[in-house]
Amino acid sequence: MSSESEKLTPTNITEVMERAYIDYSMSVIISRALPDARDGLKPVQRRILYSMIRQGLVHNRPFDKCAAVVGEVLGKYHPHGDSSVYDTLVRMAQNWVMRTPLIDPQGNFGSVDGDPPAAYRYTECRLTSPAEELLRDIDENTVDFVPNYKEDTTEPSVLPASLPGLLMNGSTGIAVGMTTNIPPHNLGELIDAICAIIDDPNISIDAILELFARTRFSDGWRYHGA
Amino acid sequence: MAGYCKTIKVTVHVDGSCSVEDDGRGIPVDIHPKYNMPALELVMTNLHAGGKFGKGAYQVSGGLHGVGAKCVNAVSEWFEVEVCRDGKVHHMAFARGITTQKMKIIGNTHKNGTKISWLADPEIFLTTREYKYDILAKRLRELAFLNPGVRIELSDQRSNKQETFFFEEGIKQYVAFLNNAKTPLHEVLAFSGEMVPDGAQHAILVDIAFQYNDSYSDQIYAYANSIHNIEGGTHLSGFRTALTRAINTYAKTNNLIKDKDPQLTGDDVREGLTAVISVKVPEPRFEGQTKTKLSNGEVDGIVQKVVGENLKFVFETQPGIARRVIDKSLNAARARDAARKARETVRKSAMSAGGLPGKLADCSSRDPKESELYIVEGDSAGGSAKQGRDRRTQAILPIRGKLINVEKARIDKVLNNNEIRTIITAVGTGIGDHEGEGAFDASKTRYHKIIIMCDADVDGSHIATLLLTFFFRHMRGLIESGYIYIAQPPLYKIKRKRREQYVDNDEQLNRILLELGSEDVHLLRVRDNHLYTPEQVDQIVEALSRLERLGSGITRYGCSFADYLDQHAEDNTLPRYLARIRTGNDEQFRFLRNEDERLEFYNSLQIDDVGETTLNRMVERNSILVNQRISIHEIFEGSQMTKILNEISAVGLRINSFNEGQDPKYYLVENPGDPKKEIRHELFSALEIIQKIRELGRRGLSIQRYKGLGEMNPKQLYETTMDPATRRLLKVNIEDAAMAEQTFSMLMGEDVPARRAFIEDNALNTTHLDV
Repeated sequence: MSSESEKLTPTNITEVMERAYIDYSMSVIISRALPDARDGLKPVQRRILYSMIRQGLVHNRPFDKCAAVVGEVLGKYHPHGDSSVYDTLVRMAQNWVMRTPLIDPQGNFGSVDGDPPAAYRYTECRLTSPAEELLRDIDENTVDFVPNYKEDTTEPSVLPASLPGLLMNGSTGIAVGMTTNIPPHNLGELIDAICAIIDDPNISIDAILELFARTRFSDGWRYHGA
Repeated sequence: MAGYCKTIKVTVHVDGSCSVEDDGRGIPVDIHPKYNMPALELVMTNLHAGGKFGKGAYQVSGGLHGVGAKCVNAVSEWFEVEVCRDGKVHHMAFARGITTQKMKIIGNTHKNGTKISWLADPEIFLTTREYKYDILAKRLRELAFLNPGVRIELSDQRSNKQETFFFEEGIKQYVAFLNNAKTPLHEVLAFSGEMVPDGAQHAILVDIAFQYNDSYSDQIYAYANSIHNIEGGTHLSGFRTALTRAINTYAKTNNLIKDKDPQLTGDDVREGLTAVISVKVPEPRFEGQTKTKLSNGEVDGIVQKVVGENLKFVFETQPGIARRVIDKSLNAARARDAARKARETVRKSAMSAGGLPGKLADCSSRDPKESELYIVEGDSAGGSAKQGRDRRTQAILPIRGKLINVEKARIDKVLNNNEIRTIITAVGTGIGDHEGEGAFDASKTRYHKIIIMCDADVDGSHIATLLLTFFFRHMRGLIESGYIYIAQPPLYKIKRKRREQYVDNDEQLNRILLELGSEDVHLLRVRDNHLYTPEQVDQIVEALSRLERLGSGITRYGCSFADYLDQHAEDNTLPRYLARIRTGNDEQFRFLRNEDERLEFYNSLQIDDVGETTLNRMVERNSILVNQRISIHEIFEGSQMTKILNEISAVGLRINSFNEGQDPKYYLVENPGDPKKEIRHELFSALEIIQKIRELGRRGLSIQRYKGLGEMNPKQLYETTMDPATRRLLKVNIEDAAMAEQTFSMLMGEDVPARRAFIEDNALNTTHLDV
């Protein structure tokens, strides 16, 4: 079936590999596996929270089906598989995964023993009030909005985050060639620490660490590479 | 090779021309008594002329036929030589092998050396005239390894890449370089020797370096007179024989092999071996025109002797190394035994499962020559492909999710993986590179085209790399036979009003934008109110876009492109040289039309060596002394630009000034003649025409980056990516096995720091990022 007119471009395997690999690894590093330091969220998490606030699923309103949220996120912001969206949503609601859950669950969301959650046609969800703090003032021109993947609407590039999301819930992620692993912190202590820094911008690291008495690391701890 | 030359500079210019400069003795310029022409001209134009044929001039030489320089000359659009010898600079020019300018002396110098520049002839090299940086770098690095002490500098002005290759320890460093990304078992061992074969006058020189690493594949490179012999030859076979014998002998005498262990074969002792063999033979004989295999019989024995003696000595004096090497070989022998058993089981189970995998939608043809196998990412795209295909010749195999990474996983795990098994059975060749039942045999392949078809998103890229890794590690013969292809689905979908179009790449997108932008647009020259028709505008735009691309050759030196173009003469010729003069903080440019003007310029500066390209001096200015730096650059792109300017003139647009004027010079007119709809865009220079047109092209256009194959209807998928009449395929080949080997172990292997370094170095080369 090889006609004369066929366009065959000889390509060196090394080149193909390097080009394809760098595209893949940079995308995973930048927009998949690692959280943004400003709001502590990975892109898929941010898209779920943003989509939910747009649907009005706040903490003092009735629950809505997870299927509706998943569908909205897929259709508007996240051109990938439905399971990746629903798994993320479930994890943001599990209080043994998130120190401060961002989503309020209704129905079977699994257990710490590893039981799977019910399918998204059964479960319901809405935002928790800490999550609304991450989204606070989003319409007040606080953050940059970028076009979504099909350029018919926009999404925030980062959330305004009035709470320190990264330290609050921590984050783990495995990208390519680099990984991240950040422990969660007690929200009350975090806010004390922020107030202390606002009062005295030159406060020493040791003085801040004093404030984290209730963070449960028995033998002392240290930040690496921060 | 005779040790006269210390530095060689290779430069690739923006227009694709190339120049090579050395500081050797310089090609002789005396008049040859027999032919009555300068030796230089003889060397460049007469077949089978050259220093090496006189014996005595060169001891050893890589060339055989005496055609190298003449061939390059004959297939070059232009070809120029400058020889610095005996205090004079000689210059000569050719075009397509014909002398266009006789040898003349153009200046004085105290240097020695030869400089050659050329541009490959587009009438001969139709498909590509591009010099790939990686290929050049690889070959030059190789040469620097093989000729220790010679400094080779490569610079690519298209991408501003630069590298210097200089290795004092020669092939010893070469081996260390090859093992860069691997864990070596011992330090590099190197030895050399020379021997005069019976009945010959000159000695044969043997240089060998090797090192074992903990990987499972071998890399052995054999060179004769600096030429890589891909298929090996007598030097390689000599090395292998000696190595196998030395290891077996040592292992037996020291009781390192037990009775129940399998015999160590040549394959076993080569596992994890990286070796470079370089021989210098006065009268080399090769099999084939391209020197892929050395066939001098006497070399075998000499290499065997050198290796055998030295290895014995090394093993006796450093038993630690011997023990590690033998352990490694023994492991290889045991693994070979185990793998054979594993393969046989897989083979049996594949057969008993009833032949072909259920997911494969096979084609109806049984002739491998016309059959094609599409390996498709995911069931959703697999469905489209299956419905859209030509079922007579095209088979579809969907694979789900990410394939297992065969570089990291153990072989038994790989063979148990479902996707891998379906691929193996569908292709039908078996895997591995050893002998025996179920082993790889490229001739058993059921398809002569195996096409990897993945989504154009980053996960698709990842799956393509995983598939390639599998083929490279376990079915390399398929790549070597040229059976592996990569499909090229369109990158963009352009929508304009109700018209839809698929676009393959960014270059095409640019072309389409220009095309759309110049649709029904007239160009009005203000000077004489001359109106150009849309057809003429098309030609002008096409030529200007080529001109624009060449511009970086000028702007690189800090000079404005318009300023340079404004230097064009009546016949559109452009200056050959650019002098950049920095006095204090002030920068000026002088344009020198040709060699004569350059000589004049040098004379005015009182420099008598035209080999100098930079000058630093102090000058007085406003009665203070300031530093002045003058550098001369040759503009190789000039002749190309002249050609384009001539084309534009032929259309009737003679551009006198490229710089922006006070008043508009041109108007781009849309809908001329209709007073209500007519729009005039003011343009202040000729170069602005193309920018404006691109802007107009973007108007009213929605450009969508295309992501998944499943987004297309089966028919669309067939038309854009699968129809043999219209599709484009990348044919995967291995240009350089050593480089490929290294790339795969770096990208897919266990060594994270090396991978991270690669990502950091290349982060800016990312062509597209996914969100």
